[in-house]
Amino acid sequence: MRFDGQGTKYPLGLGSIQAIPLVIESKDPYELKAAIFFRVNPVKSSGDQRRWIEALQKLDLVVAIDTQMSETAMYAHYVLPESHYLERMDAISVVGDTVSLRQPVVQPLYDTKSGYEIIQGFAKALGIDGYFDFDMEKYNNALLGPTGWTVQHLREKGVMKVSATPPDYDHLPTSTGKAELVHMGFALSGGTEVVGWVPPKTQPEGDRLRLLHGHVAVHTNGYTQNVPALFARMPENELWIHPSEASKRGIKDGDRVEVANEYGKQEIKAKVTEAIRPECVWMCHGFGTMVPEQRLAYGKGASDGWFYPIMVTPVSGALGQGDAVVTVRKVGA
Amino acid sequence: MTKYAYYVDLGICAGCEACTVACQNLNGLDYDMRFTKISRHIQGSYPNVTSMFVANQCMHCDNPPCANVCPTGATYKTSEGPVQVDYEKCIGCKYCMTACPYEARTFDEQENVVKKCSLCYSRLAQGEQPACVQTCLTGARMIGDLDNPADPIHEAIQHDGVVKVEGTSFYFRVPAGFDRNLVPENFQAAGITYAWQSIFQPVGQIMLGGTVGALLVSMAINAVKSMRKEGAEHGGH
Repeated sequence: MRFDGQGTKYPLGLGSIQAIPLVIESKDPYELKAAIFFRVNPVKSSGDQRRWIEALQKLDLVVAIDTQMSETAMYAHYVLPESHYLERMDAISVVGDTVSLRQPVVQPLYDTKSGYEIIQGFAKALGIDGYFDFDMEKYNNALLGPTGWTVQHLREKGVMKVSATPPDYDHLPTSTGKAELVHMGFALSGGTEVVGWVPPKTQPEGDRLRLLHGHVAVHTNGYTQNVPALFARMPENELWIHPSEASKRGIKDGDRVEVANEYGKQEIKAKVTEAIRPECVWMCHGFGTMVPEQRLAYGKGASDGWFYPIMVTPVSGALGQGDAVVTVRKVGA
Repeated sequence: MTKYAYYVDLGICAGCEACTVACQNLNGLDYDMRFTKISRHIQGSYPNVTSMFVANQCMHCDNPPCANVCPTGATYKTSEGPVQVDYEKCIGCKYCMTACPYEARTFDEQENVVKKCSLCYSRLAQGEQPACVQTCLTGARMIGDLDNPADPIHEAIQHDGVVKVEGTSFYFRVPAGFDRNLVPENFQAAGITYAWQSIFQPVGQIMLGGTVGALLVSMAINAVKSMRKEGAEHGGH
């Protein structure tokens, strides 16, 4: 049985990383002793940063595989450095009828391995390497088999189109052949036939404002804040706050403010703007890096992860985000 | 003949600044030096708020004041349009920076030369696009040849909302609801430039190298700067 309840408690789920701290604490359905994180940084991106840190500290073994030191890697017993994407071959990517290859363009600059080679190493140590008796080129060639192409073709072309039957939007693969807003699968999985509105657990009341977060085009999630060219373009995030709420708190554009709720507290620069609902504040995700090795990004801006409770959505077991309200005050006031 | 023109569709610029970074990498610039800049403009009051990104770089003026004031001929206008800087000839006097109406020039302290966007002139000669155009993720940027009737830029500059920045090589499409003044203003040959060309520049050229000359030139720059500043203040921009 999976620890995160996917396929049982959450029949339609695909996997819930945010279940990890919950299961570590509750030992339900069983005790977790070790965790291996591969190219993910849940301490920063999966809610309640403090709870994640405390949970990981209870494990006997934490391993992080990543291309850079992350908040999650900081709490790992072992960090296995992965080759940068320009140094490794990944599995082919298929979008519609288009196939593309991510291939190494330089040899690894440092003592790193590709993610797959690291997994292969684990398999060898466990004596199950018979199941991993191939390299990524062989794997990709097997995937490409039906198209008649090989990795060699993709190396030359980079991207190619294959003949594929276009989707028939008049006859979808559903029980009615149409797009279904009523879905018995959800009802049978413990939900309702029609996905309904569930009010958030928190409301912006009193001096509390709803915290929203999002992304910008300059940075990608929490992965690029320490890239020098992109750090120069956007070194820190800002808290967007409406002029009416800012003036109530004596906050001027560019002031340092403290954002806080029962889960966490962070300092950030205020951006007073009409481009936000008065009862909400917004910050870009991915900043507030805790990792000293990320020399540029370290300590710049704030991380939204400190403020959101860990929530698992019913039926799908997805991460429930955005249900948090915060206070905002001018630093030093 | 070839006459290069540059077009930016501000309706689809996503503000990723990949243009800035591609340009920096191609030109070996420090990341605090930019030939092409993107800034965000937000207008209106909640809930009627709109936002767009505005691009700014060397406009490759038809009659570039930077070239006119350059005492060594380092900055020059090519017959095809792009304004170039010969770093070998540049002495770092920064007259061009003062003369530029678009603040498109930047000083490289280490090399003691003034740099700016070349429109990737050498790449154009090889049939390649400028780095900013090639890298643009949304296809907001385009370069074309106005003298070639088959060039797709002719269709692009016919779009609704396209603004030609008069006296330059630039066209911007400004989405509906945004003010034309958000993009660089039309080029105006200032009287100051004439004064510079006819008086200060020859004096500077004669005196160049001497302490007196340097002093005079410095005074002239300051005078022109304050004149420009006053002009801008009175201009009500």
